[in-house]
Amino acid sequence: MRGRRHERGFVLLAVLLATVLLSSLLLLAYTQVMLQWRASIQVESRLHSQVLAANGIEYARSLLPKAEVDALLLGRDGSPCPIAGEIRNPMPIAQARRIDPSRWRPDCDDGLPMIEGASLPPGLSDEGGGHALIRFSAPSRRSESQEGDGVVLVRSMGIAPNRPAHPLLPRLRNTVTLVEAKLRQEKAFLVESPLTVFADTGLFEWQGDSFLIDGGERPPVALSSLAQRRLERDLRVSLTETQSRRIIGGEAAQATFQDVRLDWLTSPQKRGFFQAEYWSHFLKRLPEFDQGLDGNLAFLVDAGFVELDFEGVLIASGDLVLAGRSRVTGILIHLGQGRLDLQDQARVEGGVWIANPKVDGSLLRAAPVFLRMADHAAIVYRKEAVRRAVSRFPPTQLGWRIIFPEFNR
Amino acid sequence: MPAAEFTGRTGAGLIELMVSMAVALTLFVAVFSGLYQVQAWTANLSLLVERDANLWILPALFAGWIPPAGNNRFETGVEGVSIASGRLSLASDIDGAGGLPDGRHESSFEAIAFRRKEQTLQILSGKGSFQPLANGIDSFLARREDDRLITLRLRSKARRGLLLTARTAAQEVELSYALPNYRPNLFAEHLP
Repeated sequence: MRGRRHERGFVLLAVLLATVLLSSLLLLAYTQVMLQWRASIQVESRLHSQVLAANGIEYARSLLPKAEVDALLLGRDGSPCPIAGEIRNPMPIAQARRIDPSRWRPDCDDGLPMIEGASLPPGLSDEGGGHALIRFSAPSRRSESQEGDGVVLVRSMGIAPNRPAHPLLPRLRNTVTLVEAKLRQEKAFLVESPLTVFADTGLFEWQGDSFLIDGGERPPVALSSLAQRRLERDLRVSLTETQSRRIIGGEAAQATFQDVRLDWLTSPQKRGFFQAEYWSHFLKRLPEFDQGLDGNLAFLVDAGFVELDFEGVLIASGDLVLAGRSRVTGILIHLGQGRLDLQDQARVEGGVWIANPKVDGSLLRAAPVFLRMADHAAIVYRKEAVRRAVSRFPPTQLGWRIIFPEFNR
Repeated sequence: MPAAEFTGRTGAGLIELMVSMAVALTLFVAVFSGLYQVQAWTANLSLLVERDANLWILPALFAGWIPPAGNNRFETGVEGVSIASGRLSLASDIDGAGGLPDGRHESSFEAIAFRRKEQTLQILSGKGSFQPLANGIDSFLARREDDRLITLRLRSKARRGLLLTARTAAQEVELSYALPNYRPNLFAEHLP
């Protein structure tokens, strides 16, 4: 009996010790599980945010060809924010980590997506609650010769929320990845006359006096050459007086030929026409970008006689005869190796651009071009059609980098 | 001296002792085999977790290192991705004054290389020397599928043979990474 009296309270102590031991084990297990869970969810959300940011760049790529860069950089209000001149992020990274991106409202609209004065969504979202927000900036440290080169920077912020699937799990901050791409709008073929010819010599054939080249308020023919200046003479001698009255535009009552060579040589984009490297790259890549006649950027090689109705950029080499009631709305680019022939009631609404570049290593030669117009064929300048067609050229990507790789932190 | 009384239970104590010893031995062996099984299982689990950690973490790390490769290569003239002699080298001009590319690969993370030496995947950053990145990697293969795609194959196995089996439980992952800087452009990147 005496012994039992001394054992009283031991059970309580034993239970307390067991409880403490068990609690410690549970706490240890919980900590381990939390660490593992946190590590795994962060790896997953980092990848998620990176994919979102990359998709934001694709969103920007799809908008850029249609955007007016200068207007885009200033926003709808047309005036720069106090932070103008800096490379802009969609929002500060610290803010992106803690806010709900769907409720985010920018305090400044510079560089946010906008086309023709209308604001567009600042980014994309996915079903997992992730957001990609984009913002355009002008590249800093531009030299004078780079002005008007169409180059913009776009930064895309991928924000992946770390929402716990269970109420017992702690809420983590958003994971953010910032990706920057350097893109260039391609405006080299933004013609300002119904007929643009880049060659040293040419063979022009006009049949009858029912064809029409109408520049409206613009000069009807723009000429540029690589070295020799025989192109204008070739054109003039090919036309009778009656025929030259069918080439109208600007203030003159009949054919006026505008020499644009100097403008091209000083244009950041168009001076590429004088480089062999530019043409060899363009001619090599062209087949990859051919969307066919069902698309808006088509490349035809030795197509011969065709009757078509096409909108966009139609690029051809070899013989191309547009016949019947063919209609091209946009730009028709003929790259030589044959003749371009417009006949019957074929009509181009927009502009025609002709050249015959021959690349031999690092040497570029402007071979003769061959244009024939007959019957009631017409080339009528339409600025809007040209602008829309040029927007079919994909932007050129000059760089892509991750600005804030959380992997490295 | 009187003779011991015969009760009919002579020897029963010995049998009981032997039975109890046999039962005790069986229980002892059973308990310790069970404990050994649990211990082997946890040790194997630890080795497999270590193996899988490599296979989970490395692809995610490469996802941060590979895509920016080749940034600004038109200005630097340096190839962004090269694979030679089992070594994957990545170069990207992603840093410079003001955080903008400057045409040079001066920061250590702008030029990195990977190789496997024995069971270790090693990383070389900048002009330093190769350092261990992950252990237990017994195969590291990189191949360029085309201009825009690079594929990595990693094989990891347990650091040592698993208990209760001779296997090293080698596991392999193969992932392809897009190279955004090698996206083809219709127009020349470098304008005069």
